[in-house]
Amino acid sequence: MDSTGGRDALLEKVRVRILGFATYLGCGNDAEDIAQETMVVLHTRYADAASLEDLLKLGPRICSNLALNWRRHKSNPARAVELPESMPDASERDPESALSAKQLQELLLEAIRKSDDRCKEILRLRLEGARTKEIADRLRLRTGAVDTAYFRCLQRLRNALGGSR
Amino acid sequence: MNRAEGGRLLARYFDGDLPAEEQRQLFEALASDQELYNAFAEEALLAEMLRDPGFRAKVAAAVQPRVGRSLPFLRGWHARWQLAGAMALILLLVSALYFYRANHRAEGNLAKGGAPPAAERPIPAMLTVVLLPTERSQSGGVHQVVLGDQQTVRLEMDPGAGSYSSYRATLVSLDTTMQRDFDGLKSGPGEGGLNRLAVELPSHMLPSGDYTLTVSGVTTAGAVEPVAGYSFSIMRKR
Repeated sequence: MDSTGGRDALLEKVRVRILGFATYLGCGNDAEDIAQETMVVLHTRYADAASLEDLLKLGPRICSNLALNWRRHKSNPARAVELPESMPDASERDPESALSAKQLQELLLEAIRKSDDRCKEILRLRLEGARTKEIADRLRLRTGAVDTAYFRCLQRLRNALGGSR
Repeated sequence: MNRAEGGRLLARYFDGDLPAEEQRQLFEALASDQELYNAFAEEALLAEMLRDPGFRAKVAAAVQPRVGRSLPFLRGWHARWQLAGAMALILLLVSALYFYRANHRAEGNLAKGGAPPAAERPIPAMLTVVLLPTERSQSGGVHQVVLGDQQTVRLEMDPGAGSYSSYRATLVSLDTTMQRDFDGLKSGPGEGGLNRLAVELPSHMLPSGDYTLTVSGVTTAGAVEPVAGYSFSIMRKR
């Protein structure tokens, strides 16, 4: 297999995972388009990201921004505003990405406020910099139980992204 | 790599202590396991957003325990005090329920005219016993009289149909150590308002044992005629 073939195979692997994530976020029939668009962004803006690790790490952020943007347009197309791509915000993100990120933050914050005590406690300890083992010790749980609780917590927070499985 | 193993690697990755080789294994697993990748993506998004100091501060405020409540609330000395408090409350409720039911039962007995418990019952000063003639005793045996702390014993009898000016009674213990005669007895209202002959004597004169009481009628002519005989036993409460 030559290097181009290797790169294509790598991108296909990443695309499949991104497609799965877009579906997971509840994009339904549009998941394919969002995954494709994610791959375009990866190719055009992050051309230097070549490894599987880099691509898999970048994918979720791009995909979730696109998914949120898609949701915003879909829920209220009359108010959807086409933002100029060339106008970066203070964080040097394009306006649409910045808007998506802000909206995502608000939704997540709301979801965190509504989450149960266990979820909040684990998030609080994570924010304090505690590692899984430390959290397990402080909550008198096994590390496996902390992992399970944390991922369940994240699953519930996923609803903040508008996803549904 | 199974799901649990992938989850552990993921946790260690975000803890920042996953060696390079295991990190490579993790990303290979992420490329082939959609559920693991979704979990990774969620945590990566959250971690990225938490790098924004403003958002981090808001999250920190949102996850603070509410005032007056410990999180998790079943932990440490708070939990022990809560447990002790709960047990004390349960004990209090059980005690209250017990005393309420005890009082309610006593009130119910009084309302129904029932006798209060023996320990609370006042001891009457006099014990009244209605004797049946020996030949009419329902049990065919000897009337048992249980004597407690009463000071006086009153023995009542049916005077019968005869017409006598007065009656005479003789009480004799079976061992003949005690004999007491009663003369000039008149019939009158007794237990239950019925016409009765009655004799009264101090209870100390009636030690435990068997007794006979013989009743005779005295006619206006002064003749003495037998009316009835009674047998009974005295038992003393200890």
